[in-house]
Amino acid sequence: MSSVPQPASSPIPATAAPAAVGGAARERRSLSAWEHVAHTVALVGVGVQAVTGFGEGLGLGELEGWRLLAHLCGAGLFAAGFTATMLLWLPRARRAVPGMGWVRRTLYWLVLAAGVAVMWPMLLAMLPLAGTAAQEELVEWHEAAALTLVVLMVPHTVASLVARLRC
Amino acid sequence: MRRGVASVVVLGLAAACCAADEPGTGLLRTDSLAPYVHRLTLYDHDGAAIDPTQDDAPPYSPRMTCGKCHPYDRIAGGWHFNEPRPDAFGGRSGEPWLLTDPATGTVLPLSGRGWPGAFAPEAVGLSEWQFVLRFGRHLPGGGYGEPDGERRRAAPEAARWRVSGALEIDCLVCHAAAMHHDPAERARQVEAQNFRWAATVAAGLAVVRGEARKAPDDWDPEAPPDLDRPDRSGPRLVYDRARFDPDQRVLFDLTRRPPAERCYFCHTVREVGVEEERELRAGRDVHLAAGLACTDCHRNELDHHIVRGYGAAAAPERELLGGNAALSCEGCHLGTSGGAALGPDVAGMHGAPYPQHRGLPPLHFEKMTCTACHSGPWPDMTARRFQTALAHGLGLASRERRDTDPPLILAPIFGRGADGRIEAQRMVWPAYWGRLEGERITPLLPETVRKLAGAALPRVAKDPPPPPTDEQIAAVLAALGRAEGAAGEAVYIRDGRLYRLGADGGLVVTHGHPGAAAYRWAVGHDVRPASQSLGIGGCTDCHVDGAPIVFGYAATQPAGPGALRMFELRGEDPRLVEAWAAGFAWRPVFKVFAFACVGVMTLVLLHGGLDGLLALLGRRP
Repeated sequence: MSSVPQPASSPIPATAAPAAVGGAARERRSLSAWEHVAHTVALVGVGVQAVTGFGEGLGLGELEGWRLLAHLCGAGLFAAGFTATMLLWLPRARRAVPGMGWVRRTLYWLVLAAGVAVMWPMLLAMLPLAGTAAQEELVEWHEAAALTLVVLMVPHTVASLVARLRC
Repeated sequence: MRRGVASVVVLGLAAACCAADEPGTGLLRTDSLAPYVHRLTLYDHDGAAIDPTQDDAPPYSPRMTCGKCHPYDRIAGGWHFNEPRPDAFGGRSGEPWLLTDPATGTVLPLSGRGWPGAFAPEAVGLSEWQFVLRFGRHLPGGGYGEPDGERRRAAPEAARWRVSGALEIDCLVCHAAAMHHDPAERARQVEAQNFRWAATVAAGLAVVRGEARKAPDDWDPEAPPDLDRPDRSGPRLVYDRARFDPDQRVLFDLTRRPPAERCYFCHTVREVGVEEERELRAGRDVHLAAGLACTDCHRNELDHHIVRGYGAAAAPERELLGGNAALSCEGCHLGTSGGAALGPDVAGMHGAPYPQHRGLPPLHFEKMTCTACHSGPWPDMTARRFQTALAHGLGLASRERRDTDPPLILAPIFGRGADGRIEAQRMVWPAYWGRLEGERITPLLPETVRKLAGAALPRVAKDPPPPPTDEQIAAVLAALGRAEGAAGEAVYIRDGRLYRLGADGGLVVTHGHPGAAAYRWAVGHDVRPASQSLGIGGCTDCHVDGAPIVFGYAATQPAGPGALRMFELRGEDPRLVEAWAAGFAWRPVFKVFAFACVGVMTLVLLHGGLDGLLALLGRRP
């Protein structure tokens, strides 16, 4: 496989490329400042959304008041951080690069799909399209996708840490 | 609907009235949609048939006449009549009787139904007789108007009860199919203490000469008129013989589905202070505009337990009112139609449209009632002033009534109901003098206040009088405190404050005493259609800084007495409501941004998926 094309503005550090398919490049790739910001915002967003959204299951009571407001505000963080992170990792997810084996790439696409599935239902619910029954279904979709996303975050995090430790 | 009406049409045609209190026993039924033609012999209070050609023919008795076929005692346990019964279930708080006395600054909520914030008439020393004299104008009879014989004989006003007789249930108040029954005339007869004669005169069967209130305690209806004092001769009837057929029977034009105008005599609510043009263009309840009658939803069975329409889900009301859940907003608009689940294309009872509520998060239905968005007038930043038939005597012609007449009833107020949901409410601030013992306040009737502190009461120069000043309150409290044998400390309640005299004789004002809390009750009507409901303008009808449902004042003026804001009234955190309002200011921006994000990610996902598919098919390296 050919090397990953690297536009001048690419956030991927030059140290990460070129790389061969299944290559044994073991250079440690440090995250750029932008990547740090994006990851941090995404993590905070996911964390806020998970804690507030699944708070009822955690014994925090019904989603209302301050927690609901935090959930709504966290949605902005989540949307920004998650989108930025996904776009940053996209070039590597499309091609095998050192440290991005098939497991991590698969997880990338699954996490991306889950994130999209989390966001679409609630955004659609904000439009004057869905009636009460459809709204309830959208909320159920949102919850199921969110749970999937949170579950996927576990192997994604483990795989990322393992990859970092190997480098 | 008609099938439903037919199923409950019970016309007792049997003479076996003694068995009529047992459901389904001794009653003949027509089971027809066609109304039974009531051509009836009239019976007096002793059960004797009335011959209108006789001089001194007595008034007819609904108990004896209607009760020949209908179970009067069972009906007397129904909602409109059972208020004094200790075993009657009060249900959700409703409009209380407001004992209003401008001269003493009294606005005292009364109810025998045990509603929080309202006092039982007997608890404030108001006898059944006094209650009927004050509120009988809008009582349909029975209840306070018809205590049993033993209670009447034991009452302090036993002699007056004997002269006036009981105020029996006047079935025609509700069931008159046309306006030949005159409830205002009935109210005049109640005022004249002609209780026994009221139903006959209101029905237009006779005119009455004389007044029971002018008759002496030992009045004898059999005695010849006192020529020296004809006014003390008591009431005598002159029957309209044209109303009787040759067999001395009368045609009663009755219906089980009275027009709304019958109900409005007691249930009118009008906004005051509105411009004439606005009044001219005022809307009606959407259900009435659609051709429904009040009784299409507020139904009852033979026991006359009227469905109040708020869908009580808890016992005992659920059992008491079998149709309660079905005949509610949700019951008609979200229920089932012939077993088929309702939906956008399937209408409910009466063709009730299935509510779309497009874009409205379902969370709102857990936090708010239907009426919060759909009932009462469109809210402004300040509440508006209303008059009701029960509180202001609407329905009785008067040249004296003014928009500023007390009591001050405010609406719409967005408070929490007993189930914790936000609902549209009406509100009144209680105002009364009383005795404080521990935390319990026993109100004093205006007559008592006048008797004990008459000299200290402010002279009423204006009509309506302004609220008493601090000095006047202190003077009256001092006078009440000096009264002999008075138990408890004299206090005055007004605008949510409790006034009392301190040790130094100065006025001490306390806020937050439960006895001073505003009395609020739910607004059911008028219902506005979806196109005129809160939220039709989007989320910012409510979620914006300055939204009346959150930031509006529960007073006619922001600086008015007791001018709490709606969120304060509900005990909500002011930082939270402000944060919500501020948050929604950014919502359009968030929407654009979030759609852009999810749009880009969706494209990425689709592109990735396409790449993967092509790779799987071997068309990509």
